[in-house]
Amino acid sequence: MSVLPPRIRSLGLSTGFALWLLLTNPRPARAEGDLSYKYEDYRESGGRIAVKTDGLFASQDLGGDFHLQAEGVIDSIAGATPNGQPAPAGSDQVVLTEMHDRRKAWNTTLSRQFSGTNVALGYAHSLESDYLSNGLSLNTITDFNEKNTELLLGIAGTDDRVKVFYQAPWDKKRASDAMIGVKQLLSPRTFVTFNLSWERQSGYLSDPYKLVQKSVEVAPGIFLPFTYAENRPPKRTKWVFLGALNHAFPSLNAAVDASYRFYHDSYDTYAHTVELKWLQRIGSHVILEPELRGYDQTKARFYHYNLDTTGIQPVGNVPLPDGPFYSSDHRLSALRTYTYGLKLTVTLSSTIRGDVALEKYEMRGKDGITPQSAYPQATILNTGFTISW
Amino acid sequence: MPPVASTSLRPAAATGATPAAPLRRLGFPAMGTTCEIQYAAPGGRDRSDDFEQAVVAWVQAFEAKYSRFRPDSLVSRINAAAGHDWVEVDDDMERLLQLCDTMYTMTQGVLDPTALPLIRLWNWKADRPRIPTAEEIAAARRLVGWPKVQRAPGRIFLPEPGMALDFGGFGKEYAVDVAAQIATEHGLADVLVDFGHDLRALGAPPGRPAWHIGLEDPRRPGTPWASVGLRGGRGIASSGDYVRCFELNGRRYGHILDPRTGWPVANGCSQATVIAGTCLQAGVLSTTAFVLGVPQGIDFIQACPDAEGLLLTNQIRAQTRGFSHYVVS
Repeated sequence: MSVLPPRIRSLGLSTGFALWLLLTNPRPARAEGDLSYKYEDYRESGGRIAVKTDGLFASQDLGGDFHLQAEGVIDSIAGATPNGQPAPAGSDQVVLTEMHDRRKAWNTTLSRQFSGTNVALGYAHSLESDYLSNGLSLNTITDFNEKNTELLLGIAGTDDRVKVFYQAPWDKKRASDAMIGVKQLLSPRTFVTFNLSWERQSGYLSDPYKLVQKSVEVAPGIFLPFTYAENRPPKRTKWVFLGALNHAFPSLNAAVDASYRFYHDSYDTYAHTVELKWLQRIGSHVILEPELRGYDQTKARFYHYNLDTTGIQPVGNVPLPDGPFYSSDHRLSALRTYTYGLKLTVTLSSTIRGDVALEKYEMRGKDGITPQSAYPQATILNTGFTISW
Repeated sequence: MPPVASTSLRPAAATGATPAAPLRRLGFPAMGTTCEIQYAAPGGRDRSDDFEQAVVAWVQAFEAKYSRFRPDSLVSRINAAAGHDWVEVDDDMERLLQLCDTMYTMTQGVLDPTALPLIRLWNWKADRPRIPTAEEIAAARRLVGWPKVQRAPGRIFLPEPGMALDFGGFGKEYAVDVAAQIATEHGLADVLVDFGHDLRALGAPPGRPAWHIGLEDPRRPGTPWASVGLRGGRGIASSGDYVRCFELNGRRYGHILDPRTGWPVANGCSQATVIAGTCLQAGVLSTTAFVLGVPQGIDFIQACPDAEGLLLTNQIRAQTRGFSHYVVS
């Protein structure tokens, strides 16, 4: 669970800010609660991973400046995914493994508005056949400067259990997060956001279903490929910086939302994300939202397509916290992703709105070694509706 | 670790319709079983001869070095030195010891290369088998445990007299994979390696889509109840205790032991069959799944990347989601 700011409820910041919020999130300004249903279909091409998600979200003012949110999600995951083994000789198709799972998750947040400060306490729970997660979060938003400045502070922690199929007891994984952020109104039509977040993970951080392969000469000229479970470092520290600019164009009935995200972690991964959204109101009931997103990351220092050309001798009794570390998970390789999509939001009445979004997602390797067959292309369909009261 | 059952998987390709081109066959006794390799030989006699000489030589050298039944083997020397001497080992042996590490860890101790004292105790080959006493089992178990084995670069030491290594639980499967690799290095693409019915299939028989492997019916040994189609380098192995067993006082005691308890597996499972990327993986998984039984054995196979499997008990047939993709009849 990452630190996320609670939903912004201070709608009276300023005329410009209010306009933007109204444009991006059309809802009755005095709503006391809402109920949303969301459905997502993530489908990779070529019979690979497909995820169907049903989610229910409820939000209610409780009076006395208290507000409660609750969300429940069920994911069904099925399909083939690379297991880390390289493509056999003469082929460029990496080895895929079928997987099936189901995830049930829910979270709830109770917040209270004090004078100038909103404090939100959250709890999240998630359960899969081989993964159990529990998390707590505390976030605050404080207004300054006649509500033209917001300071976001957040901390969170998770206590997870991982079922590693080759270990009897469940293994532990813990994470601590902290975030500080500022949202500053620059003009009635423009505001900027800067967030800095830090996360420290520890425990079992490998993927028990990923393999690495090393070919060993077992007789003169005869090489046998041996596979081993991957072994990642037991600690990981992440830093994320986000800068975002939001600008409204009242004459166009539109707004632009641009952001840049920098990521670095102790696996020596550097990543950059650039995102651009255009929000266009059409008439009084429709908003169109085209979106572009590009992502670029360097490889983790222990990623190898295979271990053949390395001096690494994999070990059998993983996890070994002192190393050697190695993984052939393509998600840790040097890669780029591209996402483009279109979202349509329709306000059906003063209390009901619906939305549908379609995104195309493509991941491409850039190390020139890992075959393109490791990287997925996906179509993502989101739809849902919200009832407010 | 007892060997896997040797009677449950039978190549069916040669007994079906006549393939478009003749297959060459190589058969030779080794590792206490019959080793057979069927292959298409587009390179002619010379390449075939080179391949056959290479594979037979490698298997004989492998057996001579690692068989516990050969008193002059490296494994026998390590076992003889148990409790008093370190023994030097070469890179080949280091590699197999690392394999032992992997297997012991991945199977949560179900596959333990030091289980020989228990295997010797439960001697199902004896003329008059008997059930060991609890004290005997406890004493044997004290000599079992891969983590007790002491290793240093280039050396190994079994710290207790009576401790012993046995690669019988995976050696044949390992040899199958090496034989398949030797075939590949000799330019052979369509090969079925069958060492005592632990198999690896490369390509397919000429003119046919896949190698067909019969799955033996545990209730009627010698009769297949289904067959699977293999190609693309897949390995298959089966574990069962319906042939090698003895009965005493109305109870059947199979030859597959659970090193964690010291007793033969008695969970109702009669056969476990696994298809995986290599024969070694298939063999390790089939034995582990057999010991774990239903449903844990199926869950274990399901969790392993690139593996499918089937468990038979007296009452039910349990299989992973993708196993049916391989069943052809």
